[in-house]
Amino acid sequence: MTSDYIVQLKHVSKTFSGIKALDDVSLDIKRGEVHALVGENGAGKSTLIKVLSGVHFPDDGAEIYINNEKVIIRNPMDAIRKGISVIYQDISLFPNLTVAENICIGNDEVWKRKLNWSQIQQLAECAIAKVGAAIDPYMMLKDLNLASQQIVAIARAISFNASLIIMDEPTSTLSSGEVENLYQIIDNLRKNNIAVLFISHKFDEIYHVATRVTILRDGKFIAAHDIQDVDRPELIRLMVGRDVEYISMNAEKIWDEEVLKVNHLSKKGNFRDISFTLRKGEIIGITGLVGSGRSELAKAIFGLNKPDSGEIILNGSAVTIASSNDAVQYGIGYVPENRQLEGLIGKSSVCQNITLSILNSLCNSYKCVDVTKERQLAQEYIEKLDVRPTELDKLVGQLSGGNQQKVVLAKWLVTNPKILIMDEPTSGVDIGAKIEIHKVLRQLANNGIGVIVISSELPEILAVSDKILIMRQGSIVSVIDKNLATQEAILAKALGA
Amino acid sequence: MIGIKRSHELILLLFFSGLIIIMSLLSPSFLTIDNLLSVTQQMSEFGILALGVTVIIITSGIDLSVGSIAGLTTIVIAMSYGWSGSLVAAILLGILAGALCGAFNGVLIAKIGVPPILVTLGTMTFFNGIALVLSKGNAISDLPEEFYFVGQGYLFGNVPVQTLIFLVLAILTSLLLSKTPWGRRVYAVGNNSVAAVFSGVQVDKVLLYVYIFAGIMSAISGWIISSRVSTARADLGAVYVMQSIAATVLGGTNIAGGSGTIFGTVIGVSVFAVLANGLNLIGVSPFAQNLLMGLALIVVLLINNVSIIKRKIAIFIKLNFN
Ligand SMILES: Nc1ncnc2c1ncn2[C@@H]1O[C@H](COP(=O)(O)OP(=O)(O)OP(=O)(O)O)[C@@H](O)[C@H]1O
Ligand SMILES: [Mg+2]
Repeated sequence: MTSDYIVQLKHVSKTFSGIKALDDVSLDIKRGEVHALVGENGAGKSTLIKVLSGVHFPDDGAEIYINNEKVIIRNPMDAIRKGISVIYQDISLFPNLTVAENICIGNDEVWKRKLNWSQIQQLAECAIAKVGAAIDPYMMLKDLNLASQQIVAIARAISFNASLIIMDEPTSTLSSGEVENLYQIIDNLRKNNIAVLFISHKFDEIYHVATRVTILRDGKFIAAHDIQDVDRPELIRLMVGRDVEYISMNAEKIWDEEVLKVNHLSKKGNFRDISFTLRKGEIIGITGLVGSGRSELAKAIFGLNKPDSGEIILNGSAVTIASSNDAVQYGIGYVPENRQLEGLIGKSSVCQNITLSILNSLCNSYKCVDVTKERQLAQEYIEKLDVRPTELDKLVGQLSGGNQQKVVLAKWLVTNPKILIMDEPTSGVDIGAKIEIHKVLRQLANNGIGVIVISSELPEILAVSDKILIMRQGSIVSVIDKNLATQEAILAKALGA
Repeated sequence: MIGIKRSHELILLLFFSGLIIIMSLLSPSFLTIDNLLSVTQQMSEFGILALGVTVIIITSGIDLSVGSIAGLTTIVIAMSYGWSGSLVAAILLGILAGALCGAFNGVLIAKIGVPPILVTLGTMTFFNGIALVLSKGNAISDLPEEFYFVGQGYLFGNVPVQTLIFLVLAILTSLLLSKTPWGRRVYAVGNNSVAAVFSGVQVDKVLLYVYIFAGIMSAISGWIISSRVSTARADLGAVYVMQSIAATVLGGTNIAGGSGTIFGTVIGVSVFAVLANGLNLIGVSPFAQNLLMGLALIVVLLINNVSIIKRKIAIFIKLNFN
């Protein structure tokens, strides 16, 4: 029965300056289903979504059907009017407007029926109720946390009578409680016969919420299945084209030398009485719920969050790290959590991003950047980390999420850090690339770097760390040796059970 | 060395060539060496201002005070010449004053974090006020003969001195932006200042130097202006503020920051100068001149966004003819 389909894409191709990001892809979404779109970094998932939501215009020959009717999607607003809404990762709402205004802005109903303010509030409340959440429509959007902002975005989609809501990696910024909440919301949407298309690199999530899955690889359609018909290894094989799984790697050698010692470090409202030591060659994993103070601690060590008390000792002497520049001088590298906002200069090239932190050391005798040397160095690292495509001059903003992350990593590796702090190093990174990044981390440690990995993903923490610190509400509640740790034990400690 | 990297610059270059062809067809006296050299003379003063403005706009800032700094510089030079009798000392003091003004802007913007448009809106009036107080609102014209050299003199036969100064400064700025670590950081800050901080870039320091640089450029421009008109006056330079911003944007510098080149700005400045000169030669009234210059700016900016327009047209055709 064809009328089952709410959206059908056929023969969609998209070429960016000669390179095919999508090659004859098709995608069918049934009414009211939860459809997962999976594939490696750069497979074309985001591009496909952008075509469907009117951000990109597809190459000739593409056919898009909505409710079995052939349509052309002119721009994002047009897509919204046709019932397709996207919840972007960076939310893209208006921070200085109220929740109600955010939900109703751009809604034709408001103009046609000349709604007054109280009717607008009602419309908003109604949409929020449909989501199954409770948010005060009078609040300013900027006063809400990211999870609530996401809910507002979903409510907005509902108020536009969306029949398909698209979410691009929706859980990457959520805590585990918030993720549960989102599952609930997705369930509600399905009951209201609204289809959800979501992109995710997390298999637990895919198997938890999706009813069907479409797999892309290298811009091509590989397969579409009901979720119960593919098991996890099979799904990975379809995505990557081979078998992969997490490998736990042990340290070759941990030196006695303490590269970093943190003593009773506190900052009001962030973290309390934190003490630990990081030795040369060691990888410490820090885990805990989002909001447990992990990133704030990392930023304090990197000079971007001044602690109230306590000391940081590098190679035996207490130091004050007052700025990120100080941190870099001391040999500390920091891969931040939010790579779009904090990690990358999007409109600048891969090469220039990689060398941004070490420009002074690349200077020739005229105090100018030695471009040959710069490019050689950058080339060496993009090969080492297998950044694809291997084009030094490509704008970083045009790389897929996972490859962007590798560029951030490369930026710090070229500084030859003694200490490398990585906040969610593999968020938005596909399974194959994750394992590669894990390998690189272990290699770095074996070469004598002290590494701190912050991650919410327990299998990752277990695979990479030598020692695991568990944080809850700003304090370290437990330190577990890797060999004694299990996921259950860590989770119990993190939750405070 | 400078390199035409962006298609916008190519389009602008074509537009500029077209302009030159049209002007030389309309007026036989346009395409003569003497006239072209006088065009470069006319563009140097605001061209030098635009160099500073370009660097600032690349950092996603703006500077409305450059004209006032130029005006203040003229007063400082004239008055300190009056006290000291040394022209060299006076000019150095004038440039120092420009640098200090820039530093004042820079500290408020970089260290305290006030938005550039607010800071420089304030200092535009403030610096002008200092100049007025110092000069009691008068024009000062007792300047020595030697002082007129940079604004009225010629080198290598009939090449105006200020043309050469502009050329040297443009090349210097271009090298600073494209070759030095500082230049790289300027672009990085303009693109994403948060990521720059997270990469260990001292954003406040970069910005401070950017505004000092613009202050020095304004001072040099003021020095040349007062030399050309043989006078120091607080309001010299004021007319060039909006024009230098317009030329910078015309030259392809993104008003939101992150991209732009000195090469583009030089062409942007040239377009304005050629238009003004050519329209004068043809005998177009000054009123209509403004109209045409504004129109040119709009046309080029439209061409710059041609990809968006093309897309709109493509969709329109698809919808209506398929
Ligand atoms: N605006 C653009 N210009 C040029 N190339 C682009 C652009 N956007 C995407 N690409 C290229 O298209 C390909 C697909 O990218 P896309 O972002 O769709 O991948 P993805 O599947 O979403 O990956 P990830 O899981 O890492 O987010 C990549 O090779 C990317 O470099
Ligand atoms: Mg993506």
